[in-house]
Amino acid sequence: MRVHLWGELGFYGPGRTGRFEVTVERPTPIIEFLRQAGVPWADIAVAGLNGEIVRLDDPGLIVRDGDRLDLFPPSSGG
Amino acid sequence: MGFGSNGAVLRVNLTDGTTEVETFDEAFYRQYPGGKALATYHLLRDLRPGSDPLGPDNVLVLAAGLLTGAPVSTATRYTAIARSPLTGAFGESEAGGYWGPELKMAGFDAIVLMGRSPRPVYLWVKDGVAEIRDASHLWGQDPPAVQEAIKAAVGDKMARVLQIGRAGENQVPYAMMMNELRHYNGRTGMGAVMGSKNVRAIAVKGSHRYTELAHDAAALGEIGRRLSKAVSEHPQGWDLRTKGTPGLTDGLNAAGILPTRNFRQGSFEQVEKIGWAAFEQIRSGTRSCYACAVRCKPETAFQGERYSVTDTYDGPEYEAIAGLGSNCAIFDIELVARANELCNEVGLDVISTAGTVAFVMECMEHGLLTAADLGGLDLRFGNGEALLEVIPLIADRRGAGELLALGSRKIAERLGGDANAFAMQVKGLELAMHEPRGKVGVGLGYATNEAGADHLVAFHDPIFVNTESVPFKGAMALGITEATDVFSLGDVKVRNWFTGERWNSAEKVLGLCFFGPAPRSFISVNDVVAAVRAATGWDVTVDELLEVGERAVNMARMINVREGFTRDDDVLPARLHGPLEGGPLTGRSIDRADFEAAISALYELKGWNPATGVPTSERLHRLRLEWTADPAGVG
Repeated sequence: MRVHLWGELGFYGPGRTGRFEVTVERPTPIIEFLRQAGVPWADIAVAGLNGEIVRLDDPGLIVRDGDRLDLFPPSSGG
Repeated sequence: MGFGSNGAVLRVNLTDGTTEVETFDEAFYRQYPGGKALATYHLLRDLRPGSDPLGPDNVLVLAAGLLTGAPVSTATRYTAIARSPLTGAFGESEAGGYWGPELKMAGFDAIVLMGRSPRPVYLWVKDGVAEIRDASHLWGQDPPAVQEAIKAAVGDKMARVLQIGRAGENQVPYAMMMNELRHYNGRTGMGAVMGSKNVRAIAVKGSHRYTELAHDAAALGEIGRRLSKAVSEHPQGWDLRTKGTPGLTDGLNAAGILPTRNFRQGSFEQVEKIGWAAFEQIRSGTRSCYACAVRCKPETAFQGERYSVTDTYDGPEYEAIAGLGSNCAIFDIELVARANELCNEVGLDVISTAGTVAFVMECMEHGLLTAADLGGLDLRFGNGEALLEVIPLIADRRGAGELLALGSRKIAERLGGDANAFAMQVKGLELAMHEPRGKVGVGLGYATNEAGADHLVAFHDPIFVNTESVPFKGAMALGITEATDVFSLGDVKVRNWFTGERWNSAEKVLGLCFFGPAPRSFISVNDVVAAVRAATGWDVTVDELLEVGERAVNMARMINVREGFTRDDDVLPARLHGPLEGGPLTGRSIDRADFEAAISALYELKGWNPATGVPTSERLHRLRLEWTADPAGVG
């Protein structure tokens, strides 16, 4: 799965790259994936799965290998 | 041992070419420590109500913050304040860079410019001595040539030059000032005021160090060293250091709050052409302000097939990318970078320039203006070549630029009909590139801010959404405990917003950049307090700093009260009370009644008359500002 941690969320990516690929062995609830990846859900404002905006609090939201996941922080301006 | 300030303000009478130094004691500085507070004190005292903003009676004050020049990251800012020629209201714009710190080291906390010079001049300030010099040969020259000539004339390459461009010389009401070419007092036309006084530049140089002014230089230095290391260990600090503001574009688009086509839409269908990936292709490096480890300033340079850009100026920052890009429907980062460079070269505020252009584009779309009205210029959405053509015309007030130089509000007044519905401005100041329908607190700031629609008035709503988030935790030391969503205009939002406004205002008094302190970034609230204590020796608390911020806001409000502004001026453009047309927040609007109720609740917290928006005598007394209600009074 391709993951893009935008903005300050890149701080939590491997090597602080923000963009990385990861193998998802089995379909995984997104909350569980975020926990494993070490990305704090409290600091995510918007999530996009395969180009569509999705709700992180949707218990049925599953990520699979081959997906593209975009996570955006609460951009507060400047 | 000092208290972080020189205790000296330089007063310049340009009409008769004289200067004098006014001194103030430590007790005065505890009330008006620097920046916005110190500058507005002088404006309230020296500006006669009703003065022509571009006449000799206007007063332009440049004031460094209390901490400006301290060896602490982001302590770089100074404030420019005058009656605004764009709005007729309180005019205000902060900038970082190198000029503010140098002013402090040259022995002054502020410069007050009064009158009008009979000929073009520049001011040379060195170690407590000021000299007014002829600038006839510099008038009309490009900023790099002016900077180089002044540094050569004063014989010091390290002199720091604050100057205006052609737009300021021609008194375009949204002309900006720049220091060291890369740092801009963009908003509310402070460059036009300087131009109206026939002042092209102010060069400063000091032999002193801030630590000589500090109460406890060792403690201040230790805080500064610790914070320099902390930047990269904090998510927000790391992000600003790594990407700067151009990193914001994609996230705002994803959230549906990227201003697009004059704020009709909140999402841009080709965002990747102006987003981070596109910006990376033209980025040539990053730069810093004085002694700041954040290093957020983007630098671009490229030689494209159509346009070339050098790294002479700053940017494009996010505001330029959204303003000249998505809000004008221009899908081309190279063109946006060139338009940004042009604005800087001629000395125009990029936000008001972009906002005025987007407004004219929409008027073209609706037939309120035609190319014939604009000297043949087809300034429609998406026409980047026309954008490049019109920027110098605005600065020179020629052709189509004669009209656009008025700004969106005055053009709308001239056109009549539906034009006012397309003018995205408050009090005459064009909106910054933040969409209030997806973060309504920004709308409260746009509406109520004394200077008009600025985006740095208070915290943006996403900070308050989740109590477990990094920024929310950073805000808790300010007394913020309750979360609320980005669309809410309820009591929690209003209370949080009021705290945010006081804290942001305190930052403008202290001279700290918005990208330093929590909750936006990496410097904890307690470290801000510790830095002020080390600089001054005062036993300040968070509450005292919030009160300092509140005092500065009330002083600005009293300028507007004198100029006849009321609650009726604290309104949003009607478009924001209607539905967004595109993106994830399609259909979202700001309910007018809810918004009015929130302003009433906010006035109550502020101690302002709910019907008029005027501070009550009780609140002025609490803030020790009774004198501001008496035109003859002096604080």
